Amino acid sequence: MRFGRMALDSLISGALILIFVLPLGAVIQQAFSGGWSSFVQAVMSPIAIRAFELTLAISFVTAILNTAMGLLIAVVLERWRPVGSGALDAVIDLPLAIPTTVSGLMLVLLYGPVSPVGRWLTEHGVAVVYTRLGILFALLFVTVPYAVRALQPAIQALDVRQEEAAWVLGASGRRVWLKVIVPALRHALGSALILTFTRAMIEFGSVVIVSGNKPMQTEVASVYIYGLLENYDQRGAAAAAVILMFLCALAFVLEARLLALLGRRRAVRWAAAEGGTRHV
Amino acid sequence: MSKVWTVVGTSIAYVWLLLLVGVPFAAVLVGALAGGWGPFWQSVTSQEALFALRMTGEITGVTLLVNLVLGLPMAFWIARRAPGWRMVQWLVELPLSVSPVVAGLALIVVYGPNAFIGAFLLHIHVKVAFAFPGMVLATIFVTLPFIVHETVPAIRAIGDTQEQAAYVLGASPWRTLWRVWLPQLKWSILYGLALTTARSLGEFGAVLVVSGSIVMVTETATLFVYQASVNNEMQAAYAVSALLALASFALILLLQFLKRAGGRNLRDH
Amino acid sequence: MTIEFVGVENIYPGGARSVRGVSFQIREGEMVGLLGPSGSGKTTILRIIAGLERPTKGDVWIGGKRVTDLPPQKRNVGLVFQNYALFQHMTVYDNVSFGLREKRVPKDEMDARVRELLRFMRLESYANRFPHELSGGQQQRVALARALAPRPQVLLFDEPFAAIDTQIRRELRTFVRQVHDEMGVTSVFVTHDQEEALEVADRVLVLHEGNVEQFGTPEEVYEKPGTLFVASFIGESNVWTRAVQNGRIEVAGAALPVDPAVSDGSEVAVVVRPKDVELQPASEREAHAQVVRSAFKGSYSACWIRTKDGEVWEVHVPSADRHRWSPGAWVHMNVTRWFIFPR
Repeated sequence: MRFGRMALDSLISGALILIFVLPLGAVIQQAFSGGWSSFVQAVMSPIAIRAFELTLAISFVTAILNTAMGLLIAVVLERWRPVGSGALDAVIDLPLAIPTTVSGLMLVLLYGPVSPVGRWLTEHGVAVVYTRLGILFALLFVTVPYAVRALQPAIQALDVRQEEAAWVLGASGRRVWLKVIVPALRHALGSALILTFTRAMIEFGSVVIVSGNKPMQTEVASVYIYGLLENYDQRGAAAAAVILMFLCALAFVLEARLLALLGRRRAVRWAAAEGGTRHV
Repeated sequence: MSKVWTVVGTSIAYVWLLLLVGVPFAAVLVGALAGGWGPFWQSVTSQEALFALRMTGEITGVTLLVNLVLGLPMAFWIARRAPGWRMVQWLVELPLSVSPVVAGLALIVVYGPNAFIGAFLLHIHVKVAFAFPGMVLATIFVTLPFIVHETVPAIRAIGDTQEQAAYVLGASPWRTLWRVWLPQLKWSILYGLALTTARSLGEFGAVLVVSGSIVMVTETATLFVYQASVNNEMQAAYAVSALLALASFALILLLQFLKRAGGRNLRDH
Repeated sequence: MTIEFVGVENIYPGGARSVRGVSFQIREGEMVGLLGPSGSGKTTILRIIAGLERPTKGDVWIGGKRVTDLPPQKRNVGLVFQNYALFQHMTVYDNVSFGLREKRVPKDEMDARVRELLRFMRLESYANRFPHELSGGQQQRVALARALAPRPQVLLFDEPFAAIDTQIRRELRTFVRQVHDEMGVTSVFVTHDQEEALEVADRVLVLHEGNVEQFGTPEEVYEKPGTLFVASFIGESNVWTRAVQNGRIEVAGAALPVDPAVSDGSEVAVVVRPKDVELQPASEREAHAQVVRSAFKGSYSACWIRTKDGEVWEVHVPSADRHRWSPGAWVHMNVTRWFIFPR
């Protein structure tokens, strides 16, 4: 029994090392295998910089938009529960289940010249396919579930008594939302933001099809990395991969710091509101 | 919150999801069948498409098996907070924030023919990169979190006293797994497996990089869709896409069913 | 079966729940209560007997056989968990038959045994119910039946009545004792409720911070507490610190003799039970204390009196005399029984 336990533990540890630790470690090693200067050179090329800028910007917009919409959808699902909310709940998971290439193709089909929607948009001067707008649509599509699913349990867990207390104390509807509900959801909102953001940062399949991948214009980081690999530049790809992983990790750290900071500010305000001169 | 706001908010949510998810989903079905059933059927049953679909099926099958065998012990490790559980949890959740392309790259760097381990494996005639094992590895990399993620809370909710009760009553750990744990974890495991299936069917970036996407050798369904769209064979791309989309839809229905069944199961306890 | 602990040690980081070099012997057919405050290590001892915890030092013997290295599967003990730990996905019948099935008992023999136990536990009509469809008391009985089914050598209970309403608790206590008497199996139960321990157990093992404070019959631990902890933990008590002078200490106007080994000037603790103080009315000048408050408790009444030194004592008087000791009354105290322990 004891021996079996040990064998199992070693099996799992071994698998974790072979699947995750070794490969990711090797990427980092590969990225710096030509020394620091060649790493810098690889990631400071104008095309690389432009790709990262574009990825960051569109991911940011995606995260904001989908967190806001995710909050609304989660409230609809958890609080208002209109007719058909069961179907709505299922639809939200679709982007998780649909292959990302298929998602990309869907958008090409819908907004491309073959469909009436695409034709109408083109006539009105809006191009979606092979543009940044297309990338945004693709990212919004694939990240919707993450925002909603991050917020749903938090809304479910909201203490209705707190709201009721606010109502009883005479707060208006908007004030209850701003002062009671949103602050209580701040951790969930934070994780919705971070999940959609990182998910947008790393997305590949749908974007590679929708964006057209024009360097300096519609090429995002993951597509850029793939391009380098196609050209047998493993070291350059590894360098860019390290930057991409670093940016995602940074986002996590920043979010944690921000939440901690917000938490403290609120604590200080509370103490001040209690009329004390106490130090917090 | 006034009635008007509720209606407006609900409408916005519905319209947003309809435009973002519903319409594109419908578009691909319509697009695939634009030329009627004949061309659709032809595209889906072409030799290349059939090969790709079978490849996807095989990879998914092996992945499910491996994830079950590796994922459950990891879930117990994390749920029990056994030494090193944070590290295991961190590693298992890592793939969720690693780009599939990077995952593929990482596997190539270690298991490619130019790498130390890859070269050694080639020497003993195990081809990992640009072959089936590599593609399975890539899929596992991306899907391992799901089963762990679904079962950890269930294991924690059940606690460990039932297991101890079984031990005291004479059941071996293996018997306890079968008689006490698995019946109670059934729904969570199935849910995790359904998610794994969805993600395995759809995995693209990591498999693309690892496989080299060689027609009729390492081409999966999603790679087929990509190649077809790059080669501007849109009918074929749409047809297989529609098939995959329908499979996803079926999985979503299954997930909804599992969620209800599992929920009822949990409430009962 | 006898149970013996020899220098058993099991230290947890942080100290709570630890067991520090514990030795004791439980006799054949005895029912023993492990009593102590939470974190005193009583549950750990139970789990060591069951084999769910391995002592880091020392040995455990059951029925004259060393079982220290034996896994729980091979000890043939029955354990009733605090929260019952019933298998939630199994019916009452399947729960009770679990252990028999693991022992590969033939089907009809198993069925007969399960039916017999269900009848004994008054659960026949619940055989096909699931645990979540039962009340707390019923779940408790299922847990008991499940533990008894494989005819264990030793029966263990972890806080058996903690999660049950006071009303049914009384009944269950008697029931459990009845089960023990009828099955004649050596039993050990954990409790933090002294009343429960004194009522149900043949002998009580009092634990404090992982050490055995005293092991004796309910009368012994109550009437002859071995340590200050036992004296103050079991039963109600007034505990005071006094300095020894001329081989005596002064309590409520009386000079009580102290063990001559204790040197003058050192401090000792004196413990007096509320029932061991007699009150007499006295004038304000010669009185020892004044009644502060009194409370009716049924057969007796509790009075709190403040001495001239400012100590507040609890004293029990017959309820019939309660009117004599209303607040404000001056009283003379006569301590009839006391315990002295080194500080």
